[in-house]
Amino acid sequence: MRSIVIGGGHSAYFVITTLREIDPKGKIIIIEFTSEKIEMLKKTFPYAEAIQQSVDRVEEYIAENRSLIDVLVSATDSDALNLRYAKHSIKNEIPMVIAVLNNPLNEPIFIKENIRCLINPYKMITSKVKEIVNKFSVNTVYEFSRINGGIYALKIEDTRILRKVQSFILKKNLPFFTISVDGKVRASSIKNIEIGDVVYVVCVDKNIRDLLEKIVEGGK
Amino acid sequence: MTPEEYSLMIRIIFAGLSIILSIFLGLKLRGIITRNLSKFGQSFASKFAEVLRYFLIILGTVIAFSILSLDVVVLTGISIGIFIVILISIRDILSNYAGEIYLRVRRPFSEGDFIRIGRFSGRVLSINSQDVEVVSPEGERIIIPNQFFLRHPVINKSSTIPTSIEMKVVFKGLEIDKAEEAITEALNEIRPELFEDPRIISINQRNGRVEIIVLLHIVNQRKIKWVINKLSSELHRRGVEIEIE
Repeated sequence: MRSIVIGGGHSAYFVITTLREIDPKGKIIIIEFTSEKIEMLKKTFPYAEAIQQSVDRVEEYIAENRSLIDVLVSATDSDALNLRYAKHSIKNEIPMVIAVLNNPLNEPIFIKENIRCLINPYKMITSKVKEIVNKFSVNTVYEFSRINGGIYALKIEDTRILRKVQSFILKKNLPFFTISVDGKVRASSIKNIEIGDVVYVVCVDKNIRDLLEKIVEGGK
Repeated sequence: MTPEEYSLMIRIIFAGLSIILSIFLGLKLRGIITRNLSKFGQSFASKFAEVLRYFLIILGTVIAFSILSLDVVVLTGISIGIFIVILISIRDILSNYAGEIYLRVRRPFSEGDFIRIGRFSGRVLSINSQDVEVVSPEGERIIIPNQFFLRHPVINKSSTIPTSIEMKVVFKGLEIDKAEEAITEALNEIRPELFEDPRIISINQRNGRVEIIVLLHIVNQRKIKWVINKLSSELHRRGVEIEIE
């Protein structure tokens, strides 16, 4: 698989190492703007090809190689450039176009521009803080990229929420497991869910929104 | 000719003139409006001009009927006739609108998806009220009327990335072992461009020819031709004579 990674910063580092891990025999081409970074990239990633291009010539490179590029990851330190390259790649019909965000507040701009595969590394902060502090109703543990769904943690704070969550799992027939207050993992019947447990379910985001509405409505 | 017949003839002539005049005015107005409203977008201007043209034709027809002063039964019959003619003439347009409703409600694919319908395949550029614009792997722009999607099954290939292609490589005048060795080496050369390791599905020897079927997984479908050429040139470089099917 021929992957193009634009940028040579921290985000690009993780992208390149992951691409190498998932496809060790694949071809990785890194496009960077400065010669100093090119030298560093060649040493850090000896298996990849590092090309120096000026900011304005990257689009030309994408257009010239559009029939060969399988994956393009725009991971520069500038969201403006990431958006520009991602848009250009989509226009050139590159099959997989991924943009890595630098500023999470720019996410709506990318979504508006139809950049479907968007990596927001800051999303984990919310999820992790909730998990560590252990105070939440619903925590989005993981959101899938290819479908509108994810893994959600539901905290059972009282009997009302317990009943709602039990009927939700039963009605939708969802896969789940629970982690009890003492940190034990259980994957048994819904009857064994207790107050204080955290229930992890896999479902589509619409289902979880419906459940949240029910919990809030009931609370009123 | 009786005075009644004479009067009817005069009325028919005037009614005909009314329809001809409305058609003529409609055509003239269409050109003027399209020119003057093009600053609001060519599509909007032409649609607006078209609506006005049809309005003028209908107006001319109504005036023609009033000149003819026909009785209610005849008028109703003519109206039904006109309605049927209009329905038949715009059945494709209506069918395309129905196709659009189907595409919007059922959402079998979105813009950017790679689809195959009938003998056409390509990436969807836009979904419009009358057609879907698709770009083929060869870069050709294909306009597919929406009604086509009501009659043919659609394969959305975006959810099945990568594409798997089976290829038969025929070796002439070569032993099975040598042919397998050659194809393995050539496949290794093209491996960096593939999604995962290529697989040799079968090896058969027939009439002094070795037929090897290989399975390749490719993400970018425009690369298929390039990959085949590369494989072929790699084998030729090794002095192996082949045919690819």
